[in-house]
Amino acid sequence: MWPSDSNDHRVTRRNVIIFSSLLLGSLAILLTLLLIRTKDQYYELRDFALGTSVRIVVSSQKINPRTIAEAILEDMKRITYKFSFTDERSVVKKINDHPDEWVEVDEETYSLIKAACAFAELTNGAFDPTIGRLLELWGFTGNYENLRVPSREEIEEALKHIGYKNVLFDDKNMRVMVKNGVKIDLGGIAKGYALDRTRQIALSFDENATGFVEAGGDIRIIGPKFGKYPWVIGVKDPREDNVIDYIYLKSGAVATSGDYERYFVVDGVRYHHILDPSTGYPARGVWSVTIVAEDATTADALSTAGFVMAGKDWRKVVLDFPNMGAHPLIVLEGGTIEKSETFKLFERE
Amino acid sequence: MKKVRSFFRKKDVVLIILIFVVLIFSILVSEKKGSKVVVQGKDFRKILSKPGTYDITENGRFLMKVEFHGNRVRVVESTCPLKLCVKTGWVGPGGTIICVPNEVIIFFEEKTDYDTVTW
Repeated sequence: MWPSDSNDHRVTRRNVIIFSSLLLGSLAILLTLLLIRTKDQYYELRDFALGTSVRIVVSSQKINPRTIAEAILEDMKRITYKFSFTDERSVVKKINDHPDEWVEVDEETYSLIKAACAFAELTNGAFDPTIGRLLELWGFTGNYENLRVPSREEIEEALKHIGYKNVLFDDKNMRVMVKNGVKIDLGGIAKGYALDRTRQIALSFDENATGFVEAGGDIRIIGPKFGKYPWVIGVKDPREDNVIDYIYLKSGAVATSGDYERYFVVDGVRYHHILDPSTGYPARGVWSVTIVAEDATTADALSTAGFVMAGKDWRKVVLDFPNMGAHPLIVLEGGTIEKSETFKLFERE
Repeated sequence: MKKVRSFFRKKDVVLIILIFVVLIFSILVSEKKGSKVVVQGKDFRKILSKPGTYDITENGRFLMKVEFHGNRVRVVESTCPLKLCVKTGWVGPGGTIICVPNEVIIFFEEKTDYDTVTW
């Protein structure tokens, strides 16, 4: 490559080419490094809200992403107490504490309770926001300090006070009433709603903000990674510390309901928090249901409904859910995986 | 003979290549920090880099005992009622242990081939 006469350092054509290619090469590397640096501006915040852990990953070219993340967290904490089953500041508690009375509520509350009842209707009660009494009976409320297996009689009695049709709405005056002793619990939908809010908040700060928010394993995409790539999301193995599938999302949401999230074991039997509103017992025959949807409210509510339904008839979930904009992956008891054709679209990059 | 001004020597190329190698190497090294586990609570953030068993306390109150094995971590005991963090068992990079009552999150700093997990 080099002339044998090493004293030949004149400005020859060859030397110029070597020099300029090295110069260009180093410039290119520098530029790439710089680009990687500027892209790598995702601010990450982990905390607790909605009764679970929260992870906010957000980026903005316009304002400090930390400001966005903190605003998001604050709103999630607001929703936590506002729709809590037990908190004194909760609107839900206010409605439950005044049975057979019209309770005037704000628009946000009114819409969310109405949406919850609409999902109940849509799933024939597999998702039911009025299972408050049952959850109370099992101890799946508050700090889970009173967990126990209730007697059959107790469950029969509680079942009499369950049913979304006992929630009445007065559109004109934005009032809600619970009758027949039912108690509203928004645990199966408030998390999804809060996640959808996080995107709105991020976009209100910067319409080009990107990132995602995760709350207890449910995820809402704010915008594609670095503005153009999908976020890679693993689907948890319901029994091992492992991932059984990958999905790629540039928008939308994903939620999973699993029997491993909140449970206790008595005499070798696992009792988890996803109760079947028709039997009063934890839904059986399935380990987890993952739903991909356009929004997190749908994903959240329908992953709970899908869990309740899949143990009895997983085909119904696989065939019917895509028509509701929910694309399911089901892990049945024993580990068999079933998924809709539409779910497979998210398995590709 | 008139000496021609040196423009570009073999040594220069060697030097440039050397600088590149060092640069790229240092970038690679900084990317792979090795397994470190973050234990984050309400008022503290503890980073575990050496294997061992650690007592996690918050303002002097014992919360849990964490065992770290380099590429795996688990909660051995905890003061929470349901003990879901203990039942979670061993967790590797990409996995997370969450103790809701104690408000403690345990996760690896190391990057995985996915961004997050739905569970």
